[in-house]
Amino acid sequence: MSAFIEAEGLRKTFVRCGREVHALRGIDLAIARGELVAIMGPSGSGKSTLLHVIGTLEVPSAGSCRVAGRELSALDDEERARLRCSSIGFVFQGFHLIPQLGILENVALPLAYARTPTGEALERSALALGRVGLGKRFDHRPAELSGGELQRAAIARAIVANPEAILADEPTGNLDSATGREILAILQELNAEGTTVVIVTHDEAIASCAARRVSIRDGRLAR
Amino acid sequence: MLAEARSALHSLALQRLRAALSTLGVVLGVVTFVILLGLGEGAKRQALGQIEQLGTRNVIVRAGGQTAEQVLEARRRGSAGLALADGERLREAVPSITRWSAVREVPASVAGLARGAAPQVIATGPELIAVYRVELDRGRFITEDDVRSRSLVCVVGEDVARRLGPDAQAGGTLRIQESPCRVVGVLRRPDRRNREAGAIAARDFDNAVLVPIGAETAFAAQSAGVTEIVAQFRRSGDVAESLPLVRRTLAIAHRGVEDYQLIAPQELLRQAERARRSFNLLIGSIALVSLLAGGVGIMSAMLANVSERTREIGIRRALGATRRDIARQFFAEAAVLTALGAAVGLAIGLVALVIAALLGWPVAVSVWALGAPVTLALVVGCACTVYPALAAARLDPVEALRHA
Repeated sequence: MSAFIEAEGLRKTFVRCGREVHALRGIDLAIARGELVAIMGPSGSGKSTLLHVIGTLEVPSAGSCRVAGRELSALDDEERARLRCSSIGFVFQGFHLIPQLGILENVALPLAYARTPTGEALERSALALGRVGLGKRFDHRPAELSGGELQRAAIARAIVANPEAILADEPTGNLDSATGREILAILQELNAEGTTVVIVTHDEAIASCAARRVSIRDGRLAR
Repeated sequence: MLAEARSALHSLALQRLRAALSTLGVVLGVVTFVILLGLGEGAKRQALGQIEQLGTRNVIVRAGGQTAEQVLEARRRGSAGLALADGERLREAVPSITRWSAVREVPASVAGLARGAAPQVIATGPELIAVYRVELDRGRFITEDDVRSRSLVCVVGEDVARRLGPDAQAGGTLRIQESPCRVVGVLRRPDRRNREAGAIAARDFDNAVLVPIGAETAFAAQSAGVTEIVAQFRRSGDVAESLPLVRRTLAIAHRGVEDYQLIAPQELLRQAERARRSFNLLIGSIALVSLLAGGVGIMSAMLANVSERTREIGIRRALGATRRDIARQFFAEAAVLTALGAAVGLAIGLVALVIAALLGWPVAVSVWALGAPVTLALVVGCACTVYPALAAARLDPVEALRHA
């Protein structure tokens, strides 16, 4: 199986209030296509930063990171956006749906940026919502949905463009444990269908469902 | 659920209010622009119409316009003031002058008057009817024979005819300073635009009694002077090139004394065009300033919008939007806002112009006068959106996602 993500000596340094913050201090990590990986660590360990870098939202300060075979430092902002659009779906702890838009429109957003014709985009969005069990709540606004429903909609949005990987940042953090298990089941199902899934979490129960666990502490992978 | 729906409606209403307020500047700018252009264009056309009524083929020479000292100086240097001879001289010296007409205002009163302004007694010749473009309603005009024989006949204006009753009809008799004067014709009332032409424009013969020039000696002191001479050129194109010759001829005849005033409507027309251009420039700058203020309003509203929707920008970036996509989105929103503002402004401006027209103001509307404000508003609005749109596009996606 070829690697979807290959990081070598990956470093990320921020400047906050005039001081350098070393969020990642040399990460070597390979995630194969079709894997389900849990990245674990306490808060401030750098796990979210790692997810942002492999999700092409951040550029490495040093080292190399290849996503879907492309070296991130060689891509400009627009190319990274295109790569994100075609290969990666994000699921966030806070759902991050746009409150002014209906659920169907929210789900269709990635397709709009992939320049998919509107009619086709809405059709595919309806299918994606059906896949996560939200087949009948197209016209609602995010404010009218429960947390579990919002996260299902967010997953529908993450898979609508058929990405190779789903990157989930604490996807069950805002949900009760029963709902969290439902969401996790959906992610496992997607993984079973071949999608690479990377979950950032500090919840042991969630991590135990993953085929592989990677621990991160102070910007370094723990052995 | 109900509370959520209510709060959504409330926030929508808030946004609508803010959108309306932020475009208010554009609306007012366009309204100002449309009204100023419409009224300015109307006033311009009216002024040009008045000047054109003087006749672009004509050159008018008026007597006087000088102080008592200047009159003495003129006498000393041997100028007799504007006289019939000046008309003859002009025709002889300037080949492109085809005819001329002189008018002498005679201080005399007409008897048997009903209430109203005293009619003006004017001594003139048969050329007046062609040069001043007046029309006869009935009877005949003053002829060469009348002038030669100094016949005591007169042609009266419509107003005089009406106010003096049957005596002032053709065939009746008027008494000017006790001298009986037979009415031979009545002038037609000129159309309304003619009457609005103002002091400088064609004379008002409505309230006039015209007598053959020379015949007025029966009731007034003899004088060689005239009040006004109008020389008519063959074509209006001849006026400009002959004007220096006209000036020179008059200067020689009057021995360099400027005891007359030369009015060339064509020159006035050109001056009016120049004045109009600077007026348009003034209007344009005023409207531009108000539109700029409107643009700044849009800019600040969009900046507030961008900062409020920071998280949304982060989400969109995470979903694959490029910086250009984000910039385009905010740009489009502001463009729609500006276009709506411009449309509303245009509508209000048009309504105001219609009301002004109904109130009798001179109003003129052209595609240019409507298109220019709207185009300018769009240009200013879009220009003022560039910065907020770029600010939105430049946001760091991860920072934006963290934004509360």
